[in-house]
Amino acid sequence: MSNQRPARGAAPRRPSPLPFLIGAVILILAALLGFFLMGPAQFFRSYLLGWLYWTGIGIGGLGLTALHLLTGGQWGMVTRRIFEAASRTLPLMGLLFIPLFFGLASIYSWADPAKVAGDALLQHKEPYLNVPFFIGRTILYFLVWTFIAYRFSQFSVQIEEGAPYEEVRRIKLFAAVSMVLLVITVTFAGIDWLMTLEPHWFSSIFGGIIIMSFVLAAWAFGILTVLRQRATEAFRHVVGAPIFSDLGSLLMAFVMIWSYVQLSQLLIIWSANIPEEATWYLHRMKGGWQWIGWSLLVLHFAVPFVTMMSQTVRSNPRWLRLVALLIMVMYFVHLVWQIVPTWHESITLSPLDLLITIGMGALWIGLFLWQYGQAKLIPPVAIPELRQRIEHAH
Amino acid sequence: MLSSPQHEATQPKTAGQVPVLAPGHNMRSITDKISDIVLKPKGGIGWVIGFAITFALTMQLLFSIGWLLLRGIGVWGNNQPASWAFDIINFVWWIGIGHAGTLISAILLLLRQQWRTSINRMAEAITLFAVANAGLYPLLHTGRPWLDYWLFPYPNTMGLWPQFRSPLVWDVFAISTYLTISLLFWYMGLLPDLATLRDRATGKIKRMAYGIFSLGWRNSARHWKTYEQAYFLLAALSTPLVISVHTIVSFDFAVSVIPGWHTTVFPPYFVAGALYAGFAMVLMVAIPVRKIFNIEDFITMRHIRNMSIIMLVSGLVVAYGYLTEGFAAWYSANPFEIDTVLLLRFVTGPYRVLAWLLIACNVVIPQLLWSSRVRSNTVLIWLISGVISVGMWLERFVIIVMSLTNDFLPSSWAMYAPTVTDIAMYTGTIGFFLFLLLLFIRFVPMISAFEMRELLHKVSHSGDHHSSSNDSQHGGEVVPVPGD
Repeated sequence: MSNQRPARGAAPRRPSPLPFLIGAVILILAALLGFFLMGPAQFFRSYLLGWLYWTGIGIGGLGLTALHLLTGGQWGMVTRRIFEAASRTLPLMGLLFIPLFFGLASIYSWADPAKVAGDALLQHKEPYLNVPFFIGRTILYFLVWTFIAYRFSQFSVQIEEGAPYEEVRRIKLFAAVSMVLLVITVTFAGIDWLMTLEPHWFSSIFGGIIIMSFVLAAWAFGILTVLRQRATEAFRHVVGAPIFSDLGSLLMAFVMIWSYVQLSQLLIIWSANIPEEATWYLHRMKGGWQWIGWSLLVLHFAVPFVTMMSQTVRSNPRWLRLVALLIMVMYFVHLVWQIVPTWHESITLSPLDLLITIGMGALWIGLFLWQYGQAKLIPPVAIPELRQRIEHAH
Repeated sequence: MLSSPQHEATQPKTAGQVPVLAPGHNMRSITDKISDIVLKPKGGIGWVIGFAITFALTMQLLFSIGWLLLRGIGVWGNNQPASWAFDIINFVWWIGIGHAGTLISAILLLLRQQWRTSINRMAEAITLFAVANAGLYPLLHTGRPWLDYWLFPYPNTMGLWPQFRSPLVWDVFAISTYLTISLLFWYMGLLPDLATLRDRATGKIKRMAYGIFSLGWRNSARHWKTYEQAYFLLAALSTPLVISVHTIVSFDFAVSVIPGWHTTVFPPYFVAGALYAGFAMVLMVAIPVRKIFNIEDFITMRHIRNMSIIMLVSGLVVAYGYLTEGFAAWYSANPFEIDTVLLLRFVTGPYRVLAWLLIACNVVIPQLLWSSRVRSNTVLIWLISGVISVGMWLERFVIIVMSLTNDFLPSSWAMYAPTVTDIAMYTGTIGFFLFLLLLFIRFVPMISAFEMRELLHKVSHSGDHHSSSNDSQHGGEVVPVPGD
């Protein structure tokens, strides 16, 4: 991380130790609670949830960085540092996956040889679903993401400093290839970490759903970060109603795409009604889980969608913050709804689920803030036109 | 909104990029050039020959439809188990081709992408003509098309309602709405230009005809205000519609339990496939047209390149669809899925050559578009677009025919081959499509003249950042249109 060159004028910050300390204490507490009180299986399961919540934001940030390098647009001028910093949390999140290697059998039934021995389907899947390959794939994903994240952070500063045309073309080509790699790796990461929780079940759009969940979460996080800083010196003159409107419109677009891929899966599985596929939804539509399912429909799709139809809502920072917060919460609920029914027929939330998510969050935020301070928050080259757009709107 | 020209300074510098409008044009030269194609056609012999050929093909289409009505569906190659064949393949193929037009004219409008301006009208026309061809097939496939109104839910003495859970019924709603909105969008966008033609036409009949179709457009500020609102609204309506149409087409297959049809990635992958085929068709039309009519100033290499990039991206999404579909089939451990999607399709099945050809056309060859040298060679792009059009047709053949002819039970396996009527009708629709396109080019300005003038205004004023306000622009545009 130290090779990240601070941009001129930005104060290279030391990481603040406090969030790391809090995070470490909470996680150690959770581990103690897990191993001595609630059983290690619960610890590992909750760990997966908490870890995935924050890792997903990092992955989404990486995807949005790639998207902006390819398409451009003012939305990226105020958010690119946020997404770049989020994507640079991925190396640490990769390291934080290591504890799960020791608990795979209590999370994934395919990792338990006894269960595989009595299950023809799992035997068929063994070339893909086996512990060494799973670990190898996860390591590979994080290597690819880390490499891309650091290259992107360098490239965006190069472009801002006026790289020559040929150089920019090379960077764009790199971004395009990275995008292809990202879509494929995140698809398979989603399949590995989440879809194989119920190893008999399959859905070819599952990767698409996971990609959109991560992108949406990172986008909501980006909006919250921008809004939090909108009164600061760096942001005061460059953000305003037109920029909020851009951010809000894209939030709405991502909500729509998220809902679209969800609907594709639900409608096709519901309509065909084949037992091997319907079970996944059946597990999540009884024992109280159905209320969570309905809440996804209402709060993850309908409420954000309907409120953001209004231009006023999209460009009003207060409303935008509410909607973005709602998305961040529902992103958690959605992960719970995908993960926890694997083991619990009726609705359950372990205190460890919350505790580990919070502890992991403290670590992640600490890391994010440290990374975020490493380059100018708004690219200087973009400032004049951002200001102009704000002034023009008045 | 998401990116506009004056903000491009902050994007990666694209020095040497071709402009969306070649320099040296003024309001008058734009209007002259576009309206002269219609009002003072030159070198009509080529057009006449093209018209004759496509007219003959249109007659062939009508003849094959007549034959079908006379003899019944049996004149097609459809059989049991391949009860869906050429008719549905061509339906999906044509409707997909239509999608690029809506993407260019509506979605790029909402995204404020100015480069859409010179190609939107032609693309919309392609949409309309493609959807018209597409609509023919399912209507004729019902067997008794004179009873097709039964597809609509209306209170009737038989007490019968369509099956609302069937995507085939949703198709009726989606496609008829899509066709209506696309037609309105296209026609409304034409009004100001039809008025220009009315004012410039020399013959009395021409003036009257354009006068009637321009619905009394007088370039008044009020007209423009209403126009802008309505145009934006129609764009906002078309956007979900275009997604819904191909999504529902994909549901036609995916909600069933047929291996090779039933997979959850179908909706986005079909939409991407539609855009893929659609952009291929727009490029196949635009590249020769800009050459023949000498409008390379308006449809510049920038347009060709941008469209190639969208085509490449949608092609990659399609390839992603193939990848996840194949993986899910293997991962499902369901022997029927594995057999149909992987083994029969690529290794042992009777149509495996077509499946490999499809991979070559849709996945391998289009990767050439990664090279910017290829993206600046119109001949190569035209050829690649042709390859993609073939590939997308093959995709539908592979999905539809291969899954149906290799059902769960070997006893219901059979081969399928199209008949002469099938082929006559398919080539007939291609002829009809080109026939309509020729009429369109001859009688209607194929590039939106007033939007080009607006673009000129924006390009020449981009220094003073006024491009976002619309009200001041049209006043200036009214003037250069001579009233004769």
